[in-house]
Parts: sequence; structure tokens; C-alpha cells
Amino acid sequence: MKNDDFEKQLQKQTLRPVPEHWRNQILHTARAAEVTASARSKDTLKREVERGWLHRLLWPCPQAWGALAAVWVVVFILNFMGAENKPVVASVQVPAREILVALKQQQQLRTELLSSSEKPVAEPPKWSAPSTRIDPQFQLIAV
Amino acid sequence: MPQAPTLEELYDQHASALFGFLLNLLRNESDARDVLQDVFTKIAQRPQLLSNVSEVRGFLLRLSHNSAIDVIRRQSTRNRNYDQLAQESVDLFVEGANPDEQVFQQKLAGAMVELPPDQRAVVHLKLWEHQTFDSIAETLGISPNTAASRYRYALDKLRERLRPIYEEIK
Repeated sequence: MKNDDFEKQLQKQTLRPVPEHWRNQILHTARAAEVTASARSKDTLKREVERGWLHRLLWPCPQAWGALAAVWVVVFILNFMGAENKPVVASVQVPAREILVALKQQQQLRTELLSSSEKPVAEPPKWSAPSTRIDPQFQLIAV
Repeated sequence: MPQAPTLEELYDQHASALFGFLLNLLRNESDARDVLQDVFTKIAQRPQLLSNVSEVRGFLLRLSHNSAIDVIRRQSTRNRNYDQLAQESVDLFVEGANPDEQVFQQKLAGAMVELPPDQRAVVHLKLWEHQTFDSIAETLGISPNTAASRYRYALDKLRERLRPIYEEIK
């Protein structure tokens, strides 16, 4: 069996053509996809234009925006750390009952002391004994 | 500068060749149709794909081959019985005029099924697309030597398988 003859015999077989009714379906679907792709590319173009406008507005100096962002990050971190170190009011213990009683007693005592100092009790006049000292002139007269 | 062909012109010139190639590779008419649809949809969406192409048929065959390989991989992952499904006979050829030829066609279709897809692709492009090994290599993304060796192996298998019926009808 010669190779050439065998190959020719194989080549003689005609391949089945594509079914005719597929043509319209395939081309119609392809056209529909083309329209969709075209619309999508228009949307993409519009977005790119908008993005370009924003880009021009916001992106004149990328280093400045980067630095601002870094500062914000630092501020945020510091703020976060500060919040952690704040004393918690709720954690302060309530004074014991005995302490409160003692404080109350002290307060009463102070009030009493203050009120007593504000209204001094009138002292009775002091009796003074006659001085034993004699005036020298009187002594001379007496002599 | 020649005007780019329309989608309809491309279809009329190449769809049958692509269909035959895909049917031979995939052994399933529905899958062949899906891939054919995929190829023409790609071209419709991105006509610039053809702008720098000198050999349109070769380019379309390459697109078809890549899509067909994707289908084969996907189906073999999803369905382990794909090889069994692929053994189902499909009408690859226009029915022959006489009974002997019809039998030969059946045997040939059966023998083609037994070839691995990569050998089947080379045989198809060589025998029915009359491509050179260089063109086949370009279409399938392999070296010309690999294309030639695959063709030789495949042809040996076909000859072995079809020897009795070939001797009869010769």
C-alpha cells in the first residue's frame, strides 16, 4: 500500500459542510454581541473621560496627596493609641461605707466647730483683785 | 489597501472548513456549533484581530483549535466519560456515491476517533486543509517536526486500521 495512494484516497472523502440554517443564527448572534461590545466600549470611553477629568483635578501632585494620606494615617494611629490610654471613669471604686460615715462625722464636726466660732459665748466680766502694788506717792503720803 | 472582508464574507468563505475541523476534533455537532459561534462572535467584537493577518483561514483555524481544546479540557474535567462520548460516530463526510465508499467512510470516521486529538488535528489540516507542516505548526502552536511526526504516526495507525477495506475498494 503506497503512502501517496492511501493519502489520496483519504483526501477524496468530502467533508460535510456546515448546516445552512446555522448561518443566520450564528451571524445574528455575532452581530448582537458586536453591538453589545460597541456599547460597552462607549461606556468605557465615557468612564475614561470622566476619570481623566478627575485625574487632572485631583492628581496634580501625587506626592502631596501621598503625604496627606500618610499624615491622616499617623493621626488616626495616635488617636487610636490615645483612646486606649485614657483612664476609665467607671473603673474607679466606690468608697467603702465606713469611709463615708467617717467623712460625714468629720463634716459634722467641722460644721459644729465653725458654728461655735461664729457665735462666741459672752464671757462674764472678770473679777480683778486689788493690786498689791502701792503707788510710791501714796506710800510717801502714808508715811 | 484591500477592504477588510465583512463577517458574512468570512463566514461564507471559511465556516464549512472550520466546521469540518471542529467536528473532527470534538466529535459532537453541538460543541462544534458552539465553538464556531464563539469564533465568529470574537471576530465581530474585535475585527482588529484580522487587521495584520496574512492567512485568514489559518488564523481562524487557530482560533477554532484553541477554543476546541478549551472545550475538551472543560468537558473532560466535568465529565470523565467524555472519551466514551467522543467515540460516538458522527457524520464527518458527505455520504459516498457507492456502498464501498460509504463503508470506507464509516471505517475512516471510526479510525479517526481512535486517534488522539492532537494527531487528529494534524491529519485533518494536512489532508483536508492541504496545509504544509510549517502552517500546521503555526496553527497548532507546535514545531514543524512535531507536526510531521504526529502526522506520520497517525497515518500509520489509519493505514493499519483501514488496510482491509482499502485493499477491497482499491
